[in-house]
Amino acid sequence: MLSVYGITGFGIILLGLFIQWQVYVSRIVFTFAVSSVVVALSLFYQGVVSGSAVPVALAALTAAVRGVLIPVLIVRNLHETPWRAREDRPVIGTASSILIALALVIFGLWLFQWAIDRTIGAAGAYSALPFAMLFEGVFLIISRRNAFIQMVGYLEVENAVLLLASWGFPGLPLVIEGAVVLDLLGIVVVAGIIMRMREESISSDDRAAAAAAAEDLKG
Amino acid sequence: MLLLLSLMQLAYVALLAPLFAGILSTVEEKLESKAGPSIFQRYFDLLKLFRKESVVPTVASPFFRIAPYVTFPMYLFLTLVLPIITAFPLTFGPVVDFIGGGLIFGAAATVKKIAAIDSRSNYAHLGASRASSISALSEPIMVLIFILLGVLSGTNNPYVINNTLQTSSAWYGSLLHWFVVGAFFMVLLVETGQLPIESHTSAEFGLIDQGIPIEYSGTELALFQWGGYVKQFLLMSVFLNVFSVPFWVPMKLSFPMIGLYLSIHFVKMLLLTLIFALLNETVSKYRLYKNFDFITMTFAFALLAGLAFYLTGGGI
Repeated sequence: MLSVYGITGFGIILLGLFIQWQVYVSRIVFTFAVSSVVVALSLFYQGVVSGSAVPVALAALTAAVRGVLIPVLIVRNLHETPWRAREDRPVIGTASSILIALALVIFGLWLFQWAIDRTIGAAGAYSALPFAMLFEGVFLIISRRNAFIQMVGYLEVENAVLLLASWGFPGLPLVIEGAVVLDLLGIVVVAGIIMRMREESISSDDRAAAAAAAEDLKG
Repeated sequence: MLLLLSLMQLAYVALLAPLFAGILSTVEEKLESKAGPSIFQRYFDLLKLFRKESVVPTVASPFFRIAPYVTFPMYLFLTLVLPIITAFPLTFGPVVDFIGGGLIFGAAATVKKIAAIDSRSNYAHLGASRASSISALSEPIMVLIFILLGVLSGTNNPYVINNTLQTSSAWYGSLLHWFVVGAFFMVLLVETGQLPIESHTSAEFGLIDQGIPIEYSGTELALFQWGGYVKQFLLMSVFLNVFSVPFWVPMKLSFPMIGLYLSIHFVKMLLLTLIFALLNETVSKYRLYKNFDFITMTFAFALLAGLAFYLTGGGI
């Protein structure tokens, strides 16, 4: 029968592959938001089953921060930089990147089962899925040039870490897990500021270069 | 008795196949707020074509003329071996399993492509070339799907797979099964020319399936088109009866049950046709080279089915 861990684990792997398939940043961000909500639902389930409030609180935090706040912030940033709306020069072609991501998932599953006890945590063998997703997220960062998509790749890795921690090591204190989630918010804000500064510096350079060229033309 | 049921199944598929093609076109037009053709338009078209004379390119060999008379019976034969109205094998049921059925589908497609090349038309060559490059990737995925179904039921016989899924809620609810359903649905979209692949357009950019019979006319074209409708009907039925909704297909010989199931099957087909129409009207068409991305995702679904099976240690 369908296991909640199986559905969640394979669900996030599949959503990761959907992200690899997409070209438009808004769709990638939306898929990431759905993935985060799936992670939050899994944590909520874990909290209800174990009768612990910690996973439930973490689920609420995850849904609010990764499922809503961060995607909204990214999309808002995207509106200000419309030329970043799609990945036009991926490092690796879409079909090849899906295949490589699949190969990395298989490698991740094998590595987990080879290196870590497969009976670890409540999710048992399914704990290998978030571990495999780590590789999927890292590969997303490598395979794309668009800064927003790379950021989504980073967030995907963080989602995988969170899920792995809660499935494989359910005793982790809330303060650590909460800190991971809130760190992300800080990273998104800082990355947004850095990108804004970079755009401004590029455009001011361009303006200076254009002014110099105009002066040259005057003779 | 089984022979009678076989003939009944043959008549059911051959006669109703153009109707579902007609319903699909009509619903698509309605969704575009157009009046649309009658749902029986495909029958009128076939009748018209059967009455018209055939024009054959002077450069084509006799094979070009013979090909539709070879492929059409192949599709009719497949109606006798697949579980359409019963979940127990009819007279010809034990002749082939899924792999065998897939080979017959593949043989029919190959004959069509050779005939298209034989016509010496550039557009027919274009269609055959594109169809070959897509099917070279999609058909191995189909084989992978059948192998995964073999894991599920211990055989590649579609009747046994149907019985297994009907009787075992554990297998029906397994991740392996649902990933296979997803993969087969995507292959079904490719094989029946629905969006986002859309191979049934006559525009040059998307010319795939329509390019192959471009030099045919009269009776040969009618057989070509009718065979296409039968193929679509069969694949949709397999998706419904074996993969996604295997329930209610009669597992024992009972005429009232089979009669009742005919109407249930009709409703199932109608719903799937509506889903196709909705997809065709809401999903953007892919650029030709982007079709391979779609096929790669189909492969991903099939591979994840295998991984789901492996991860649970071979259990459910």
